[in-house]
Amino acid sequence: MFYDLYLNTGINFSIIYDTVDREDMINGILLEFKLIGWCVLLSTIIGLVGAALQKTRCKFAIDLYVEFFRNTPLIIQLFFFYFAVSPLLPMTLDEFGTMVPLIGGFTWAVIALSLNAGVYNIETFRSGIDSVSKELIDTGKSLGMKPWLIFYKITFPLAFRVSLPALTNNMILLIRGTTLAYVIAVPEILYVSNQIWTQQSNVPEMMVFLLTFYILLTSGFAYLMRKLEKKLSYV
Amino acid sequence: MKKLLLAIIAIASVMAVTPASADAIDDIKAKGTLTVGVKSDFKPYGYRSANGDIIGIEIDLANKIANSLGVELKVIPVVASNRIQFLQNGKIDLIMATMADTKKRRKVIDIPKPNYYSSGPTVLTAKQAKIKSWDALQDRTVCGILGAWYNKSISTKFKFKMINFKTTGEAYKALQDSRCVGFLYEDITLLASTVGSEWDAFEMPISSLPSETYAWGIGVKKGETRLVELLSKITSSWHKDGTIIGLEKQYNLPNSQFILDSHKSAK
Repeated sequence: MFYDLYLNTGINFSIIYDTVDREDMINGILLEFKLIGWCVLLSTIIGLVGAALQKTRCKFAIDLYVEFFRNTPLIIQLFFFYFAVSPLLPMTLDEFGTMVPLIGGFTWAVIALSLNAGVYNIETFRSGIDSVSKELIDTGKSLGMKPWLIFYKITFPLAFRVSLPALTNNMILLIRGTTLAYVIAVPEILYVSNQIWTQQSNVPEMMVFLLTFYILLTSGFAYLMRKLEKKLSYV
Repeated sequence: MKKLLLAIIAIASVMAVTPASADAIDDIKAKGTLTVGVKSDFKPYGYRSANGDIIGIEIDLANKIANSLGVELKVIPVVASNRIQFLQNGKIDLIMATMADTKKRRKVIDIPKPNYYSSGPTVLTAKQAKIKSWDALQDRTVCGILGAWYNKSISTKFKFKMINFKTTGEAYKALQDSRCVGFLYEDITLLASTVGSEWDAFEMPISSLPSETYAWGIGVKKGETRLVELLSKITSSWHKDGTIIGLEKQYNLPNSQFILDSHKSAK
């Protein structure tokens, strides 16, 4: 049907009728989800740990990390890890007995994107923690609660709820940022699309597809986050 | 209307007169110069030397043609978009400007056989990987340029994975970092850019596929049979006596597989 559309109108959605293109695109979409999943998870952990460490003696190191990643472009961070850091690491043998780099493009993309988004999450969680009123913490103290128990039972649940809208924003930025992984040859959907549109010369069709994909993806994600927000507000 | 008719008659009479005059070889000999359209920005085939002269492998070859005609060589820089027009309106006698021999071009100009050079995608690979054929690439990872027209056809045919980059700089670096066993790219560009000791550990043992290869040809105005015959004789002699092999060495290029193969079959 889509092939007929192409023959009749010239509108070429080869990702639907061409088996090779379709398989490439399905793999690209799966990889995109995998990339997003890892980055959302790791950047949230980085945000939480970083925000917690900001209250300790490690504050200096965290500040340094935040400044470094907030003040440099994401695309340069990707290139930096892939082309500058990676060659300094030890090599490993692959199944053919040749030496290959320890860490591949996908893992570097996860590392760079998570570290980048983690910075914003640290700031988001920090502002959330700061918003918890001192009286509540003093109340905890007066009940004889240990500092970690206060954080776990009082500060964190309240801070997390306050942080959620800003966290959603960070995650949407992260999801959009994943497309940049194509510069270090991670075959996510922009990379696959680029390869397809040079073969099929269907740039407009692929652009429509990419935009639709990202609108659905980010609005779907935002919808889930709003649901989570609602659920937490009745705690 | 009358003016238009007159113009048409004038043009038609000019066109009718041209073939009637002496043929291109006589014209060139009468002029005493052979004018050849060459590239001026394609090292080492046609480029400008430090003092601004156009030099290169194709210029040296054009010089040999001029010598065998007993005339002086004059080179004119051309680009892909104007070289055929230059030939057709008589500004140049021949095209020797890295021009691929295609069916479409053969409709408008003559291209003598055999072709004097060829280019197509091949694989630059580390010597220690010991990859000697396209089949040896199966299941391996090969670097490439994102969107190159031959990526899909070659990688599906020989079942290898590709990691593709935006520009050649990244791909060369990825190959040096062992992210892939080879770099799939145009052989002539690979030949020209991998000169230097840091590339000693790399080689290009695989010849480009016939289905993806474009042979280079000399462009001649349609209908000049004697000139075409002469050029055919000259280019086959180049293959026989290893002229181009020598030129590649002179310009510090490793010998391309097409040239070695043609030399072997010409002997």
